[in-house]
Amino acid sequence: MGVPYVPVRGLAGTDILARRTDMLIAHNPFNADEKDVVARAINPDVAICHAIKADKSGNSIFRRGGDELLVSQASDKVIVTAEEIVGEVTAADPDGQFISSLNVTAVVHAPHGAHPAGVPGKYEMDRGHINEYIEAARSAEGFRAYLEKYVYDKTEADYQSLVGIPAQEVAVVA
Amino acid sequence: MRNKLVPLEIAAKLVRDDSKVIMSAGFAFAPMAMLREIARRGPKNLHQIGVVGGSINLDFLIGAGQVSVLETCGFGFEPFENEAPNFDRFLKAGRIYSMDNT
Repeated sequence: MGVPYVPVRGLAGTDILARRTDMLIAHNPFNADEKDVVARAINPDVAICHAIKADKSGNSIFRRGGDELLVSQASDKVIVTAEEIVGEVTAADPDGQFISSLNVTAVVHAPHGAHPAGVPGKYEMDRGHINEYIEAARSAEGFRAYLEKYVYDKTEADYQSLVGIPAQEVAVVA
Repeated sequence: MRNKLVPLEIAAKLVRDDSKVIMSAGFAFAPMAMLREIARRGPKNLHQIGVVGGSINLDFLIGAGQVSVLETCGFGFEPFENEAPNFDRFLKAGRIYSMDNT
């Protein structure tokens, strides 16, 4: 939105304000009798968003109903990972929410890139792997072992092979 | 049009120590491939933001020890568990600062 702060209704009277430096109570500039909680804008350095598809210049299509547009417009830099790289994506695309290349810093071809989460319409979440993740994450040693097994010193292709995703072509970077 | 297509390894360099990183995902559309690459690169002291909420996408880099602040609302692991397991463990150990935007 590009605004420095927004008024927020509903937090006055809670102790959240005592613990937050990014929210305070301010007078309504249009009505001196009224006060509201105002929250400082969040200006992230990097947004990371997974798209249904994108073109090489960064025009992208996201699920409907998500907050990817807001998140990408608020952020200094935007990384889009996409299930599919296609010839050209336009705002007229009927498959979802369009985000312009103007808002995108880098686009990456990442088929199956949400695994073990899912991409509705393409693949389900991997419940078996998520259960393995949860068990591993119960202890520092367990999660360290998970990262050693699947992530550290591995490529994404190694990961996909380890979790049983068939090898796939990744779009050539020209 | 400028070609912005890069491999994971190049895009991941945009996330540095102390970066404020935002996502809008959960058990659908989690950008896990990029998060795994960020875990391999290892930037530290990240301030992670979930809009709205999140699940494994927000929990993963916490487990890798790379997140010092988490700012979100409605964060959990439904339909598997109530709590996000790494976040739960780090929060109870006082190893992460949590800002609840609910």
